[in-house]
Amino acid sequence: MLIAKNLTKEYGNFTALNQLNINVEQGNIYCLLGANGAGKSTTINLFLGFIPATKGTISINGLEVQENLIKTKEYIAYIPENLMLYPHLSGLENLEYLATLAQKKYTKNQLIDFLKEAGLQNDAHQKRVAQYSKGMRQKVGIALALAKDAKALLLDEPTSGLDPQASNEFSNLLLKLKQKNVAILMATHDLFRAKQIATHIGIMKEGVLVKSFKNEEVTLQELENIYLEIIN
Amino acid sequence: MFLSFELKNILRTPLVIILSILLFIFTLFAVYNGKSRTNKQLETIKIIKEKEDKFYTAKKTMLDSIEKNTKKPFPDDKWFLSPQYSLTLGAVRGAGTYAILTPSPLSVVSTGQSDIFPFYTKIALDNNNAGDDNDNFENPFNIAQGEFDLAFVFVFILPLLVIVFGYNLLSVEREQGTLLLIKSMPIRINVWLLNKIIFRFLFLLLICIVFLCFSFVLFDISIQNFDFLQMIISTSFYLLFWFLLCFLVNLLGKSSTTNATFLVGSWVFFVLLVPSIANILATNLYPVPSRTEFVTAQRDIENEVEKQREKIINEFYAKNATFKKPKQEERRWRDNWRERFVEKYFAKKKLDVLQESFMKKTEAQRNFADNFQYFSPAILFQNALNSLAKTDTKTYLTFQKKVNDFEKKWSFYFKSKFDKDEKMKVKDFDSFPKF
Repeated sequence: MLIAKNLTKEYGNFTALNQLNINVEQGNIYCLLGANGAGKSTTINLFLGFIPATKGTISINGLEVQENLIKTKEYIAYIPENLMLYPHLSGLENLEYLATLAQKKYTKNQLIDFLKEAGLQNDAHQKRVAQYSKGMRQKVGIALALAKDAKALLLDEPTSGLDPQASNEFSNLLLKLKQKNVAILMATHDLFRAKQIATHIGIMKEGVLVKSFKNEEVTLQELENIYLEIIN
Repeated sequence: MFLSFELKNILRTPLVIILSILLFIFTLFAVYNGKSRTNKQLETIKIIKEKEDKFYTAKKTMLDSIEKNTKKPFPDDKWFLSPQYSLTLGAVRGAGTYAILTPSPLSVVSTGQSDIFPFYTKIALDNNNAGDDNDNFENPFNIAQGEFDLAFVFVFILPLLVIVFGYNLLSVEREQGTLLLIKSMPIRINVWLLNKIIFRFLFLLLICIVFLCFSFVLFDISIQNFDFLQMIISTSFYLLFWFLLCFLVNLLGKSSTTNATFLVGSWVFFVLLVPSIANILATNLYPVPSRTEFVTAQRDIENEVEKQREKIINEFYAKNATFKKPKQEERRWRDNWRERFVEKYFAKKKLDVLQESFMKKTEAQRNFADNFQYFSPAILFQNALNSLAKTDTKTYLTFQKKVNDFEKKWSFYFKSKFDKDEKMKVKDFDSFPKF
């Protein structure tokens, strides 16, 4: 579903991403680990088409991203580190508007169902987003992914700043999406959550994917050791 | 959903709501001001027409009685009371007709040049000076400070509302962090931004139309005419210009503060600076003598003619054998008036030359200023509103030209009768020249 081949991104003389090769299948969660500046967010931004690649190819559902900027966005949902919504609108209104932009038409009840499925409490649906916590906003992001019927979800450090309970809730939501056959690519610093939910883990350093393996191949302790060894 | 979202966006922005309410209040006040001004003009027109009707009805009744021998004709030394003389009906003691520029239905929209040019002129054989009537000119203090009319609200204030509506459409998304989410949607950002601009343009235009219709209906001004539609169209184009500017500024991708600064700067440039520059350049490149200088030059000519009076009169009698210069003891009122006309028309020829030179200079200045309108949509829009309100310079100059032509007709009619020493009849009242 999400495929990068020899993906390279350069900014002048600086190489932000170097020869990246990954393939995230449907129903898989691929967690990209790495220190700040390792190239995780650059990878996400390349998949989103926010920036063009210098070399290599990147495709979503078989379509080359830069050549199909609009079409590929139909397949994906995106949750940044700090998902911001329209503060003067309620969660429901935000979802309704964003779903409309994604060319999806739903009844109010269907939209409420998406919010419920994403775990947002009933009494928060009509509240203005200005009163939402970060965790609640992330849930609206998940509801949007459900409303978009996204085949792939791109997440850029979505659990940073969340308390353990909210982070756990969020991880469970991702697992639900995994069961719905959604391909998930998540950039994160959180080794524990990565170990908890990922099917595949990749560790990046200075724009290079140094190591990539299946989750079941390592324990949490081994993952931590590998991670520390690479980034140090 | 897009429309309802945009509507919610607007309705939940307090500044926009406050400014919209202010626009409504300003529109109401401006229309009220315009209506008051027009009403005052209409009231004046009514009074002068009544005065004129009263004068001629009385003279006609008197003449009818004289013709039917129910009243004795006036003795010759009371000629100025007798309706049998053309001077009594066309020149002296309240005689004369009013040339009137009736305010158009949309004159409430713009004061335009109406505070500088007279909207009526008294035409009499011996006088066509509008200054006879006190309320025909605006107080100079009012001219200096400008009129709070609808044109002022739309030309000056409306663009500021457009700027508030559209300065940060894209930048606010970036600044509040929602742009990332929008960019991840299967839409083109430019098209999405254009949709937002178009919606806001239509929303503001609708507000303007509703406010205008409400104000016009409230103050009993007709909106069922083509001019009103033209005003809406002109307003649309003016709004469109400012929204287009907002769109382009948003596309530059700068911060909201930078956008606001640039747009307010554009407002200052197009609405304040360009008209001022046009005015300064026109005044300096095509200087026109002031009205005071013009009047002084007029008086100089009149004084000069007065000094040469004897010579002018003698030349007249020498050239016109039908008239004989009377001896002092034989002199009658007709002789005095004949010589007065000779003197007046002699002066008039010189005054016409002076006036033509003055008009040519003002025309050159005006033409230069008119060309400047294409550098500022504010000037274009103001001119369009003046034109619709019929308070533009062209309307007043056309009126003045018609007045001058009519004054010639009026003078010719009554002076011919005077020259032929022809008595006036009741039936002549129907053949008086009409403006």
